Amino acid sequence: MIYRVFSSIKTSVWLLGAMTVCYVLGTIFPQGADIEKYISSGGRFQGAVRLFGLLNLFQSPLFLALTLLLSLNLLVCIYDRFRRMKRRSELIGIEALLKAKNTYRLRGIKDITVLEDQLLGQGFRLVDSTEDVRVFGRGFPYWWLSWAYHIGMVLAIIGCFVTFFTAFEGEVTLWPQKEEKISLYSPDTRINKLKKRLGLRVKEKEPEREFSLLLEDFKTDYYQTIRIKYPKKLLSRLAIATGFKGIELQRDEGLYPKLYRTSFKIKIPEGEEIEATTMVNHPFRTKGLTLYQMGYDQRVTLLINGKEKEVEIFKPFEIEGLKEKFMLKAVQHGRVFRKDGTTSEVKPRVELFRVKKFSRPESIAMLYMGKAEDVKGVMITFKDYKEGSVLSYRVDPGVWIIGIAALFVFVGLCARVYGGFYRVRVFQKQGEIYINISTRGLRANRDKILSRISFANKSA
Amino acid sequence: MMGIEELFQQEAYLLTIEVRLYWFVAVLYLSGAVLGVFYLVTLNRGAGRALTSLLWFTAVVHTLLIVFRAVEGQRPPFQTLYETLSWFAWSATVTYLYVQSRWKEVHLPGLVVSVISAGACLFALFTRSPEIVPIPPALQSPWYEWHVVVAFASYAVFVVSFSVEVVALLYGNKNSLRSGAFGFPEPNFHRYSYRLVLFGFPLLTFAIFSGAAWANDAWGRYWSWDPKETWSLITWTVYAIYLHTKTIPRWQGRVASVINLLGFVCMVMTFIGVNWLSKLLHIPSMHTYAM
Ligand code: HEM
Repeated sequence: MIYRVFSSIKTSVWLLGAMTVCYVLGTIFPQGADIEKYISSGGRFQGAVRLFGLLNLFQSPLFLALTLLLSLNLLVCIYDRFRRMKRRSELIGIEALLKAKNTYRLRGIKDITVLEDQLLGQGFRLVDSTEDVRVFGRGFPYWWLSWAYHIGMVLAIIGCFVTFFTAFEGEVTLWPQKEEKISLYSPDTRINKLKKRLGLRVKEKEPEREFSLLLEDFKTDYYQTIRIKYPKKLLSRLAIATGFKGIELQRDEGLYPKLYRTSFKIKIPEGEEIEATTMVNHPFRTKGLTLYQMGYDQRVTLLINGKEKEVEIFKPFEIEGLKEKFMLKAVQHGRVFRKDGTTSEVKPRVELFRVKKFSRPESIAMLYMGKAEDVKGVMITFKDYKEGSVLSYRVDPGVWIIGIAALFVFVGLCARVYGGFYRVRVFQKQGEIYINISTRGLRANRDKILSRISFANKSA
Repeated sequence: MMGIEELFQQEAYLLTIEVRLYWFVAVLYLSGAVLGVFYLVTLNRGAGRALTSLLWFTAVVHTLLIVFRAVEGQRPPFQTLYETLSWFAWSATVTYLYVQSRWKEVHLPGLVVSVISAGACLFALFTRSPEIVPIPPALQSPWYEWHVVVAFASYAVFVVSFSVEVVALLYGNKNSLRSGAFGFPEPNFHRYSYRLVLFGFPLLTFAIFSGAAWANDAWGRYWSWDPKETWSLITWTVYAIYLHTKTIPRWQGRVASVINLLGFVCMVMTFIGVNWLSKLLHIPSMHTYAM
């Protein structure tokens, strides 16, 4: 009974449907959010959120159970189909063939061997035969392909579980002249936590897998871009569309990031020191460690009415004497690649915003380093800044399994879907010659096979 | 050599022309939709043929628009939502025309394709700025073009499948009075939508795998369950469900058709509606998701 349920495609459809519902919930409720914060920002359905762990849905027991059920379903199917494929017979009785939709009576051919020769000429081979029916085939058997990509799917799920239990990641911000240590080992992976819970010994550290990093340089390049004054109102946009107006330019220069690059020294566990660089999409790899460029952090020193104040970028802060809250965007400095092909250095600058409660922050001034600016009667100078590079690293033994699984799934799926597979059965009944053609795959074309059989008028 | 000021002026001028061309393309799609409705009401074969011809013309003009944008921006023309909406409409239309060329007298799915393409173009023109943004570091990867082009190829195929499915559900029935009038070559027109989904499914699979591989290269984490990723997985799962229902005799009719339509809805959610559901239910999303 259980075997029957788990070997049925209907079960897969229900399970996949249930997983879809979970996925949708996972996009509605903010994943990874803190429950208190969720409630304070007006989150609804608190009861259900707590009960089903909706803020951490993809790690919840409910979701894991569904995934396990689907895997079981897949495994049983794979086993079941394998058994059936081994016993698979290509032969179908004449009575059933005569009833089938894709059986045609051929007129104009009297001798069945002529038909068979034509099929052989079209690249078919004889697969099986009885006294009454002969089966010809072309193309790789699709059931093996379907089987292969379903195995790939199981492999992918296994890979995801390996990731779930063993992967960990970390982030490190490199500030100038400050050495940071990172390790390829973590006592806090799920598997290690599980071991601890079972009372097994788990090492807290593995010094032989530690690296230390020291920042040498963090560099940003920009493109010069053209900023436009594009109207928000539909009518003004229509005026541009119909030729009454053109698009106007904004006068200030736009800078748009082109490259972030961190140069650093890395000391590997054996003690050797290596010069390294990493950029977005170009991670640095050595000895099992991969370092990714994630972003940067900046601390800006402002002089406000003569007093120094250190400010973190993108964090709201107050200015003495003013009621509102303010925020700095990132400090821009480095090289700019200009439209005319030249490059120049950007004079360090940072844009000051006013933070509003219910709408986007509003830009109020561009502060250039060393230059005082009057902001609503308060003199503000951008005095200095410090910059750190944020790198991330990750250890994930599941990745290669998923890579192989992906290849399996993709190749199998493509061969099955885009390929051309035929089974042609020919037989005679009461002096008439019949042909039954079944196909799979998008390249298979029944009509083409029929039309190539010469001297024949076909009727279904 | 041109000075910076002249270069800027030239860019503004080209942008103005490009926006006008975009509007023109949107109006052409809208005209297609109107013509399609006329065909639907009058059953006039000429109107059907005119719809297909108009879509051919639109596809040519739209190709020009896309080439113009690519030359103007000197990079692939599918980076901002303003651009991808155009690319989406174009690839759906071109795919439809290719599929349509195999049928002699079936023009009705063109109505659905026109409506979707017009909707995409107008959405871009109403809500987005045409500003040309250079390629940021995160997109500077060999995966970028492959990922986007293949994903949109699958979207295009699913749009056409949806159009065929809708038309087949409403008129493709053997007993429908109009099925003959709309020139269906066979009563079971659903076969086409099935074959289209079959064609698109490996493409979507590749799009998701390549996205994961790319994320793995850029950030070291192949999957983060962010709403866009999750919606792509939803779309993929719904189409997988559709393909499976097609193998179950009792479900391969209406049930499968409905799931195919659902797949299309999920695809649109993946593309543009990602955060809309949580907004609708007044649930704080807390994700900063840049669209
Ligand atoms: C992760 C879950 C699954 C995915 C993504 C998936 C994917 C697919 C796809 C894309 C197809 C259609 C392509 C084709 O016609 O060959 C298919 C067909 C099929 N699937 Fe699945 N499948 C899943 C789970 C299952 C399970 C659990 C079973 C077991 C009952 C199953 C049995 C079948 C069968 C029998 C076919 C038809 C095979 C054929 O016609 O070649 N699938 N599957």
